[in-house]
Amino acid sequence: MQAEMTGERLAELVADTLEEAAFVFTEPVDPPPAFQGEVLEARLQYSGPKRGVLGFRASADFAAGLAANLLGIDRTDPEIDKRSADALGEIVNMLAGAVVLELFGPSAQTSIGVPSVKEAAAAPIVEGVVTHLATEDGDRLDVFLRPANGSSS
Amino acid sequence: MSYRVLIVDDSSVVRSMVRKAVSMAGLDIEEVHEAGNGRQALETLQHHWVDIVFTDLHMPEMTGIELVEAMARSGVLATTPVVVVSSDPSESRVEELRRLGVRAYLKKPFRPEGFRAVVEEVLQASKEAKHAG
Repeated sequence: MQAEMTGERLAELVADTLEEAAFVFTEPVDPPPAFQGEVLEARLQYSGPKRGVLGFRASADFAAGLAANLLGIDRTDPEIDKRSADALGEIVNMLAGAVVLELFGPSAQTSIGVPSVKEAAAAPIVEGVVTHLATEDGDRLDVFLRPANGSSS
Repeated sequence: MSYRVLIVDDSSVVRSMVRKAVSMAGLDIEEVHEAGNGRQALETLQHHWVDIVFTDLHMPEMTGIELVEAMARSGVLATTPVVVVSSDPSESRVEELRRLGVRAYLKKPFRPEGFRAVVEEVLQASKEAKHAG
């Protein structure tokens, strides 16, 4: 089974994942607001009947809030700075589970790679399925799904 | 009874989340060990008695499946229950893990009440198996 992913459906999966994991509420936005401050990008590779890359861009400030919510600690906790990139990577990991299930169904042989997080490139995302969301606090989130050409086998 | 727990995940955030869920589950915890991959987990298991292991699947150096396979080969898996905590949704993977001897599979993101239910069930089954043996 190979389902088609749309930007709208990807936005729903992002919203569900963030709400369930971290009590963060989002809405799709177009056009998106500008990013504020340093921007991080978490990405990982997935494989199944097809391979691809899932990526998630957000401000470092959003990642810090995410870490606070996931860990149940205060945003002023000195641990936050060390954990925010890891928190963003973990959200991409959780989102990948939902995306892979949507694309290939539960019975497919699938694999989710280890996420990597780095400072995002300044260039906008133009390839693949892209969705822009904003949180209740006005943080911009960009999420993209970039299927690779050909099957994984 | 107090429990000794091993949490295996390459993400320090997830290790903290599981540690918190364990404490919220109301278990009497004696000790919590953490490992960043399967290899580190095996080293911990060689030096410490552990009552339950929570492990991720996709980790660098040694994956969760390789860890479970190694535990099965050494006989540790028969006495130490393993709960896999992962976002991987593959049913075939879950079946493979159950065949290897994994007691439960918890999909991320998880809620504290779901976590507690799984842990209570696994520990109860482990206790009954020990009494039966």
